[in-house]
Amino acid sequence: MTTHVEPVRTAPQGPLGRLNHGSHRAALNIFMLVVLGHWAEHIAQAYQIWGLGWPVKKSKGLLGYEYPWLVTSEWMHYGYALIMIIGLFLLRPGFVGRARTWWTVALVIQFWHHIEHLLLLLQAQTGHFLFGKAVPTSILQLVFPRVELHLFYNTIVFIPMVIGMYFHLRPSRQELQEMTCSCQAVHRHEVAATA
Amino acid sequence: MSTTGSPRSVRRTLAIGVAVVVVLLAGLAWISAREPVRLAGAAPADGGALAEAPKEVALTFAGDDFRPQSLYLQVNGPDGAPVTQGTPELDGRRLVAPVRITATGSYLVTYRLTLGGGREVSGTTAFAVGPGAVGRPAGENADDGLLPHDHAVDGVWNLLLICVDAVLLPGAVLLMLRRPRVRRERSPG
Repeated sequence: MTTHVEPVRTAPQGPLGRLNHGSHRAALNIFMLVVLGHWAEHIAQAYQIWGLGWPVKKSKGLLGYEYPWLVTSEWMHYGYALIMIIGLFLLRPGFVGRARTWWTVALVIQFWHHIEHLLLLLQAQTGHFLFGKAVPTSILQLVFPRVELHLFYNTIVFIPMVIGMYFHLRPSRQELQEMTCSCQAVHRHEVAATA
Repeated sequence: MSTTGSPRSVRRTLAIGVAVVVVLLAGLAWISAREPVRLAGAAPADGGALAEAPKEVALTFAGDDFRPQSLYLQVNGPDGAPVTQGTPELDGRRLVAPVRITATGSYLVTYRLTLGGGREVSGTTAFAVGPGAVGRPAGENADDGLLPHDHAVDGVWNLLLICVDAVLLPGAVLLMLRRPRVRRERSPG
């Protein structure tokens, strides 16, 4: 049996309000499935390189094996960055307390990541490359040329996301009282135990 | 009534966990069983030196799903002029092109195969012809070429990042699957 603690805040109205109210848990899980699918591709890619000994250029994950254009397309990577920023933005109102702080950190980093991808996409489309380089170049690539930026960015976005999710799905009693979303469904005995 | 840690919820979590492991293993088995198309051999060999001119150049390819949709093979002589005669033909996994070589020197072989799904295998090999000729390999396979914004995961830094993510991923999955619960605050002292 579960119980919903009486919300302190008034539930927001409109599609965004409904998303962050009754559908927040489901939407969060769907969003995380997209994120995990992306990571699964990178894990598969790592397995192809280090486990199977494939050439790096041939190791494009599961989807990339059948459809290499997916991996080589700057549009696809920009699209994923866009989905990430939209998901982080749309689901943020449902978060409270420390969870909201960490989720916001992820959103801010992803915003910058998205700008970097936009710069790369524009350079790739226009053929006009920034900073006098011979290839499309992002701003952070000027500082950390050797670091694989795509993985780096996705990792530093993923870390605060997971911490935010942890605090959101393991709220303190005070945070639970502030929550209005469907993620607040916890066991009655737990609420009593923490009282 | 369903409670955290009840036999029913444990069975459910175990079932989901087993399903996830099965899907992962199936995915790994699928990619383990497939090998990308690549150049397996060349005649004359890359970097080889021949006393007499060959009549043909043949490239052999390995890998799964070898169904080329278009073929390109050209051999250029020391002066840059093509020495290939006619169109290249596919004989099983061998791409063969007749050549007419009359001069000594270095020859460059350029190939490109378009496969299904937008895949492409391309590159160059080289050989030398003539008494005392010294062959030099054409260099690294050109295959797909390096992207300006590479998304591969090669290198120590990337391995480290993958390790961090490999720790975070199960945590995220657990958070998704398990019922939310109130966090017990540590009592002071």
